[in-house]
Amino acid sequence: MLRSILKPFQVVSARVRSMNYVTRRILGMFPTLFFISIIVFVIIDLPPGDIVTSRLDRMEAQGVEASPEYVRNLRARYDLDKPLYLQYLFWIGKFVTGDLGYSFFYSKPVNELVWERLGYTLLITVAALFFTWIVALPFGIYSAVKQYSIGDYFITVVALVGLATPNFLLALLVMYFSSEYFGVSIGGLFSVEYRDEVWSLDKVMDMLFRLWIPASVVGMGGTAVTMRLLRANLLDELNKPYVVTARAKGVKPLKLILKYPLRIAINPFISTVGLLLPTLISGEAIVSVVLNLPTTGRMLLDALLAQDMYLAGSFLMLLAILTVVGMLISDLILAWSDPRIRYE
Amino acid sequence: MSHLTTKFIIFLLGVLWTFSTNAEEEKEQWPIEWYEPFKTASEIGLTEFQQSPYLVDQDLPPIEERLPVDPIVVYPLKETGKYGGTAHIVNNDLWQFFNWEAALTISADMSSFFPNLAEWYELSEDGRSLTIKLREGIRWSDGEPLKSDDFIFTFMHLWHNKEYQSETYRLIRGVRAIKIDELTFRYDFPRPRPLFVNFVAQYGDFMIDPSHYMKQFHPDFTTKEELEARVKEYDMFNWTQLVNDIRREGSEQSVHVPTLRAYKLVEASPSRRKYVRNPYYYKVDPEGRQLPYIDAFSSEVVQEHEIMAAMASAGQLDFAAFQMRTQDIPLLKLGERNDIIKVHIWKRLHSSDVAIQPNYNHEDERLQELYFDLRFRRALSHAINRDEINDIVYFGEGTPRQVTVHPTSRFFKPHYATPFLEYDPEKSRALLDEIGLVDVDGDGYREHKDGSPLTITLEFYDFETPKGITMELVLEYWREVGISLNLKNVNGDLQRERAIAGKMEMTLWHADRVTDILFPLFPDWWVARSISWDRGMWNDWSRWYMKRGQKTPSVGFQPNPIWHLKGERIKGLGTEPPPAMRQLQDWTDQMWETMDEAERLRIGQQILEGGVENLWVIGTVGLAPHPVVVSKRLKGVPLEGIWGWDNRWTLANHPHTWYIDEGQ
Amino acid sequence: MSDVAQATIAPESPAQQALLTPSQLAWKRFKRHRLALISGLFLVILYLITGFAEFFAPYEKTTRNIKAIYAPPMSIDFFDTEGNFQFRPFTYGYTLTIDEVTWARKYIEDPKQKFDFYFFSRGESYEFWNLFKADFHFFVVKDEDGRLGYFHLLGTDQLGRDVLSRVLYGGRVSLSIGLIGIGLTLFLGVLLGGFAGYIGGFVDRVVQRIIEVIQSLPTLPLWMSLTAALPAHWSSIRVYFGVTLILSFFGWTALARQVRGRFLALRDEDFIVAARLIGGGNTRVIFKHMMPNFMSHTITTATLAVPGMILGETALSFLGIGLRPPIVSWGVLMKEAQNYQVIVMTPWILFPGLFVVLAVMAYNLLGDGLRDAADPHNIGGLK
Repeated sequence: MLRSILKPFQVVSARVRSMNYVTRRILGMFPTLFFISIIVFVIIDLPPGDIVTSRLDRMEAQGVEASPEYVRNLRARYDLDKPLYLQYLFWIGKFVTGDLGYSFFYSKPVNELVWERLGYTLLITVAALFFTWIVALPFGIYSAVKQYSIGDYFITVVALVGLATPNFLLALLVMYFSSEYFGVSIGGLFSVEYRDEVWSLDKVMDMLFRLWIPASVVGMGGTAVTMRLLRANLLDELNKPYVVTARAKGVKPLKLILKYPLRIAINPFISTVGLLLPTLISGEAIVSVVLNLPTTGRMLLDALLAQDMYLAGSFLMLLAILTVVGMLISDLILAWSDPRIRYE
Repeated sequence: MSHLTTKFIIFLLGVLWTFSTNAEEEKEQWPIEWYEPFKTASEIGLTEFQQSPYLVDQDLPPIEERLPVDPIVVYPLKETGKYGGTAHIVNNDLWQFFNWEAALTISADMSSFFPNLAEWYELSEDGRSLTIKLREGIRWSDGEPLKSDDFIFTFMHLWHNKEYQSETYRLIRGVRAIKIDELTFRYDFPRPRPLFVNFVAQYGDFMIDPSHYMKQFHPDFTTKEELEARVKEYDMFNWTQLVNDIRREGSEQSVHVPTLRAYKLVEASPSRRKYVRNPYYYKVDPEGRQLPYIDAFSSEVVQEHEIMAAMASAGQLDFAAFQMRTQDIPLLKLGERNDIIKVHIWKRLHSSDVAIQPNYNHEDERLQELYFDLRFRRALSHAINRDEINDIVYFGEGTPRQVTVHPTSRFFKPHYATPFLEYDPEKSRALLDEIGLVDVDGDGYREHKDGSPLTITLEFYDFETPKGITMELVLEYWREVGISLNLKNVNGDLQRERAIAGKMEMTLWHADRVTDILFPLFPDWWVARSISWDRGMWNDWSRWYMKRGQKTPSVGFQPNPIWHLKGERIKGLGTEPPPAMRQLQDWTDQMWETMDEAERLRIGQQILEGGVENLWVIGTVGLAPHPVVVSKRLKGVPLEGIWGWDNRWTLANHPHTWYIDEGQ
Repeated sequence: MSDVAQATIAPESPAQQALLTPSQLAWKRFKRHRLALISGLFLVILYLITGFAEFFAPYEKTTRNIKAIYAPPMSIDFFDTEGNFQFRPFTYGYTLTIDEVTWARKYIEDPKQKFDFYFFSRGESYEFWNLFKADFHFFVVKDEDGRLGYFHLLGTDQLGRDVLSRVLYGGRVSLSIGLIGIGLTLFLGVLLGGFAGYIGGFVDRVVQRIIEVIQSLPTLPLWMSLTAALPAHWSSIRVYFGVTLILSFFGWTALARQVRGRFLALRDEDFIVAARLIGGGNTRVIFKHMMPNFMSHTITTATLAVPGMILGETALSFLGIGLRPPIVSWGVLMKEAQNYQVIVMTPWILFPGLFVVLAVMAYNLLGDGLRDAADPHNIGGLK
């Protein structure tokens, strides 16, 4: 009786609490981003020597004359005539309003350069994430169910090797074998015949077909980790009394696994997304260099080599934001799927 | 002797003759027309012209109206080609796959210059003016006619604009471009400049802009408000940067820029560009068909040389050459074995693929003193095992050489290429000991005379020729004689910045500008005469030469759309060079001004002798094989050729006569 | 791997266990992880061989064999071309031909050049650890007249340098970066984690936040940015330490988090409270009573962080912004193998990659074993 009266309140309060969790989590993101922005700003300022001078040298080498007025303009444009903390404030202010600065290397606003590349980075990262799940789930389950079988050992060894192989080496090898044996053209996200075409269904299909190369390479390490994690969790779960009972009652093995233990074991899947993201984005950065993909990695490297620090800084900041937001989303999904977390 | 026997003998002789000619046919013959001034349609009796089917449905005036009054006829390598197809290349090969158009052009044997956009040109007897008459009816890709204004604009309004170019390049200083009529103009020089012809032929594509289009970005022709609005619209700092960006092919706004070349840009993104045929291109083939043959091509931006080589080997590119290296040949040949590509082996004209340049004006005075000691340079040179480099890097197919002119040059004498060339580490050690560089602390490396550690940092941009691998070997050779070298790979941008600023202790580039086209004009490896991104050896001496006779120091830059003449930074008045160098600078002036070819030859050889004596730069291996990868379906590319900046790589091979034949 | 262990743990009587100290117990547990044990052993051997690379490597890292540019691995033979058996192993030298059409270098075993193996013998001279000159090698090959021949177990690279020797010298750099880096990581992690955990409050919150920030940054782009900023004129050795510092600078977070957790847990334990009540100073309490309680865990976590550093170094050097020649590291060697041509025509240049994989795998397995050994309750999997 009392229970039924209290029930609506309980639901409401649960909602409030979960709302609180979401707000808390979102608000908590900002201090993190603030710290990150400071780190990035320090990195932008790292290269030795006066920034203006080196920028000017480069501008001048490109043929733009450096009149004193121009120098003043440049300093003003980058707020370099102001103290450091103000410089930071202006920089972050502009960043927030979408002005990412100016690339001296490409003589273009950074804004024009990054978004498409960031998009492809996101695409590959998400694809890698899916690859991780698609591979880790069945093999993880198999490994747990058929513990100590030859298959289990094989999967374990492959996972270990995958975890230990440098991304770029894997990328090189995959590139070679896919070109040599499957005729996949080298470099880029598209086959040669689609590179000039406008977007079409065929082109999208072509890209998706080719996407597995970077995705599998980037996702390899994560797959190994996730697979082992799933296996361990599932094993823990399988030894619990309720499973034993169900098994004793004659529930079919596959159905049994899919119905209960897997659900519980799969939670870490979602929670690892947050942990995987930085790794995946890191991996993407180097793999894209090897595979010549139009993503952030190559451009970040070029920007760094040319000491084009605004471009590099913007990339770094955007990658960090991507990671932080990704982690946030994974946390929220986790909270949604597992109510216990909300009441932490 | 019976009739039959005679017949049989003739038959035998015939067979023998066939065999012998077969053997000789290996050597490909270039058409005789490549060595002569262009013929025009009327000269060979052409009256009817055709166009590519690609253009048929486009809303264009008839072909006769688009072509000039009397179009140039270009002869293909062998047979005339067919229209159509889309070629794939990487961005680095843009300049090689379709060359840019200038008033004059260079003959296939690199010995003379012909009118191209020009109908004729004439150098006055005193060498003080060069008159150029343009062919009638040549049009820009937007249909506007080509006029002498287009030359005047670049020369007078860009190169002579104080804002655009605060410090004029020495060759240009005091030179005026004067319009005579719509199609005739002349360059007037304050002093005799017979070599200006070489300059117009080799560099002339940068001396012309579509003035009718460019005027809207120039303060001389546009109001201040309008200009500011445009600068803002393109998100640039000022109009000079905007104009530079537009002139630098490949920015997004370049899509709207009219061109004279065989192809026009239609799409540009950071990752790729697309070009289609220019409907107004002014050259035709001997059958009266408008060139080029290939309708369109796309070029991909690829940074990694390794990826490019892999793509070329896999047959993904129709033409790949610029970034191909000698070491790639086995990989590329693998693609040849799969019958998807053909690897043509050309020879680079570079006198040496690696020209090591000590910075004689480096701020560290101990280094200055050391570098300036000829014994030190000799020691460094003798320490290098060039035969080994040739074997390891070039499959033994290069030539160990110092930096000097190309063997085809009139100026060349064999002994120019050989001073201090032999590998002799003992002599090298002896020389270093003699200078007083000894290993004080016993770490295997020699120290400065005052006992402080001596390590030379060599910064270089590993591009085009096999620089990195060669330097890795040189590092070892020098280590063996006790010289510690620190190699630092920089990218092109940084190389430019550091070289122009004269901050590098040592750097290197490959030695081009060694043919008769460019050597008399730019004897850069022997004389301190200008500052550029590929040289970091004597900026202060060069500055002194450039500023000679001027009292006020100024700060500024010479803008230039391309590398080799880029960025003359003139800060202060420089330092007076030692007498030997001053002598060389004087000779350079004389070489530029003399109207007597024999005199020029004599002076040029004096300068080269100076190089032999002084060994300003240290060479390694030159005249090396260069792979030019051609897809199976691309026809018309010569099997052999001379590869380099001097002759603009493929300029004389007329890339617009290459065609795609899907055939077999 | 723990599952393997779990399955093989033999029941022991409590009395037997009581006789063992905790470390003996841990060792016992560790020993049961056969793979971890093997990995540990492998790593010890690897560190020994690379540490004494001068002795084990047949050549110096820069010695060029001009007769063998891009030569494939050579074989160790016991039977000569006539089928005669010889107890002393030997190898055949190469003759080189360059194919006129394909420009490919072809090496054919030349029966006229027969090199016998001599172990613990004199060969190329070297400077051991920059300390003294020696010419004693693990093995050398000599021809019949006693002159030194050449033998390249893993082939040679584009300059004719012995890949095996370079792998060994490179391993010294790459593996030591892992070790030195982990030292720094340990220091930072224990210091910051300890502070956070022991002092708590504001300090704790700040450290927590920093950890959170660093963990949410994609490490490789960050490493790239920092190493690219290392000045051009730095000597190799400074670059080496610079890179190590950068690598460890972002690796300490997991460790700090763990240490903090332990500190928090221990802070209120009875024995710590007691120690403090009887007047133990902070230092004494921390070092005497708290540290021993979690050091084993910390070291385990540290071990698991080493692979990340090794992979980090290879990645950075591979991109050309980490270490660079004349330093030889596995990353530098991998950069040389970046060539597509290498995979197609001279795959033995990829051997350094194999060593990276093996070393990283060994560290992972070892770390797993250590973790399980350090924690009697931990029977989880490879997390």
